[in-house]
Amino acid sequence: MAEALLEVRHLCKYFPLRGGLFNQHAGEVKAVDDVSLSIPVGTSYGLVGESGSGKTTLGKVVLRLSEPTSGQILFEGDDLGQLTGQRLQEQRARMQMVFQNPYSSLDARKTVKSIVAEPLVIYKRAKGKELDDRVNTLIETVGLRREHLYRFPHEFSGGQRQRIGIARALALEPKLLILDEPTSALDVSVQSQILNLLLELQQRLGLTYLFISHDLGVIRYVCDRVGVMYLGRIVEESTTDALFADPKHPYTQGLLSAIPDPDPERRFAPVEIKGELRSLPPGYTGCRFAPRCPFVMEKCREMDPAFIETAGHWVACHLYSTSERTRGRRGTEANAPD
Amino acid sequence: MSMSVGDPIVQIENLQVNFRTFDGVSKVLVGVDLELHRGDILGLVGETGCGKSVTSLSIPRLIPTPPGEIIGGRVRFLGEDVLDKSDAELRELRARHIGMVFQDPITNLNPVFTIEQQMIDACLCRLGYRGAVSASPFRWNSASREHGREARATAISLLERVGFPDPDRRIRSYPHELSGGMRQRVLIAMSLAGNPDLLILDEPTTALDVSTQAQILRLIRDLVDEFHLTVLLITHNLGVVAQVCNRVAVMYSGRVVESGEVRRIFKSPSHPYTIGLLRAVPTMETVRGTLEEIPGTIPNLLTPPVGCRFHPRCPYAMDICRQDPPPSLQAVDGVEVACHLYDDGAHPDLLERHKIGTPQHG
Repeated sequence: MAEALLEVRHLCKYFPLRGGLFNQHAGEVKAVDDVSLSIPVGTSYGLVGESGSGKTTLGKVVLRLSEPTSGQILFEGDDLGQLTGQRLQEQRARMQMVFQNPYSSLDARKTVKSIVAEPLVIYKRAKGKELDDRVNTLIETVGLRREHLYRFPHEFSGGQRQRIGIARALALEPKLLILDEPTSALDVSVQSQILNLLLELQQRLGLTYLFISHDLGVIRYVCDRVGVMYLGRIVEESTTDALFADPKHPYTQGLLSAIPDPDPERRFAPVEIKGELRSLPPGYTGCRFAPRCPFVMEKCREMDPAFIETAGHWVACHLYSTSERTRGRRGTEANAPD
Repeated sequence: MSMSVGDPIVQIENLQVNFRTFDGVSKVLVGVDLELHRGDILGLVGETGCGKSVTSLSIPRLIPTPPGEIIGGRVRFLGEDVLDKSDAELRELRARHIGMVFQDPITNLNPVFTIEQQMIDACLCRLGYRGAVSASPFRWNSASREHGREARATAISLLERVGFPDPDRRIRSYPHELSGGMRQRVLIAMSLAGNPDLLILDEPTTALDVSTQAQILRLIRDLVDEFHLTVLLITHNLGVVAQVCNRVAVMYSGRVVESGEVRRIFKSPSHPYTIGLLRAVPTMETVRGTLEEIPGTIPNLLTPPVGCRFHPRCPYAMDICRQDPPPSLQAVDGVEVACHLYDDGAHPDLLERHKIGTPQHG
């Protein structure tokens, strides 16, 4: 496999909870808890999970917009966690983010031109005529026209705004783009335009993507590898084809079957994930999915499963740590918890 | 109300709505035709700004006026014209015959009242009380206390029915203490309080995660059978339509462009916009790089395109499309479609034309 552009090792991000008398430390929220992943140059890694699973926090910590509690983030071999000052700035320019909501991530008081030019100005990469040229090229790269540069964000539709956000992210010629739900605020017809644009840009500019989304259809279309996150941890990871063809973790199975199929001939009978994502009580040591898992066993409530490899999948589930590895597979009597 | 069996519950004919804005008059609806029969679960799909919500708001006549203005057409509910009703009749209609659930559950619950107070209000409305009774000074009156107790019992049983856990205790929560899925359940319970004939669900699962969405969709399907509801489900998720609805109406820029049975339309869509929509959804089978786009963006409603409003984005646009808007819905092969391609009643092979890529005439 090609060299990893981004490698995350045992990354943790805990947010302290304060309360009680004198606002003392009262525990923590483990937003990202011991996550490791590696993204080879020029590929896309998809991160899926429900809201509150820690996807966005992970994206922010990778950019060091939020300081990690522990763990390493290696970007082209440099440990971002150790970098400071000048060197950090330089590396940050090589990784950019596209945000979820194109309605709030663009400054309403600036013209498109100054929005797209801003990174170049901050990093003193270009000015005057050269700056104009760069901005013109950028805006055409994302499929907008030059006359759009002198308008304000409110004059654009959601899809066009997301294109502006992408142009801004591309301004510094980054290697890594972190795409945080780039299409979830858009209509399907526009979503397909943006997805195809992202694929085309990746091919043309050799970009690497960390693609965060809760839409499994979108992830499957764009990504090479997928990690499924649940309550701060990656519970299953595999190549996209393998993960969708044969999901191992009960949570992944539930998520996949919960997508309403746009083919009315196919029956919609989700492997039901009961309840909803909720923080674990302090001192809980079992599997974090156990309270909602249809295949829960005695030991799931006691011991956190290790992240192990089974037939090309990485999965953290007790169902696969013993001889009982075939239980809970999709396609078998999945709705009958035995 | 007077109506015979088999008459549609909702009948919207050629509805036209304008909104006045500072920039001019925005023609939001330009002749919407829609029918709902008892027991239907009709999916109303389309892009943002195509008029889905305005259409649904016209049934209980909730379009904000001004800036909105109904300039033509008719809206009949249970055989009676909604546009002729007095305010008192409308209040009755909204309280007992139509339930509504909106997209974003947090903005539709009052943050300063508990679920209990809001649920009791909804249940009291059904008993003929007006407004926020639980917050009024008359609650000390013994008769209204009696009604209050009755309403509270109804509220709890409704909450229990929609899968709200431990309603007896958790009914005292404030909206911010609940998750998105739970808030949506509360709103669904509230909309059922009046024992309505029609339930309007405006993007009920858009703000929710897929696993919660699946739970809510299952609930909706169960409730339809149990309460003999007719449902108008607004969504832009075609998967939701395919799995929950029996009929679908596709809207584009202020008109219904295609409507009919879900199975039929999903299998062989007729209108070019419906075709585009169905192909733009990445599914488990889509091969990378082959996802089709509908080029361009939705038209500006202040200066809509002349002729068919879809023609600038349509791969099959003909000269007539640029001049005349298509006639109202006509029946073609068991579905209803508004498109010039079907003017002569024939069913052209759109796939073949698409391959050729050049628009043909006739």
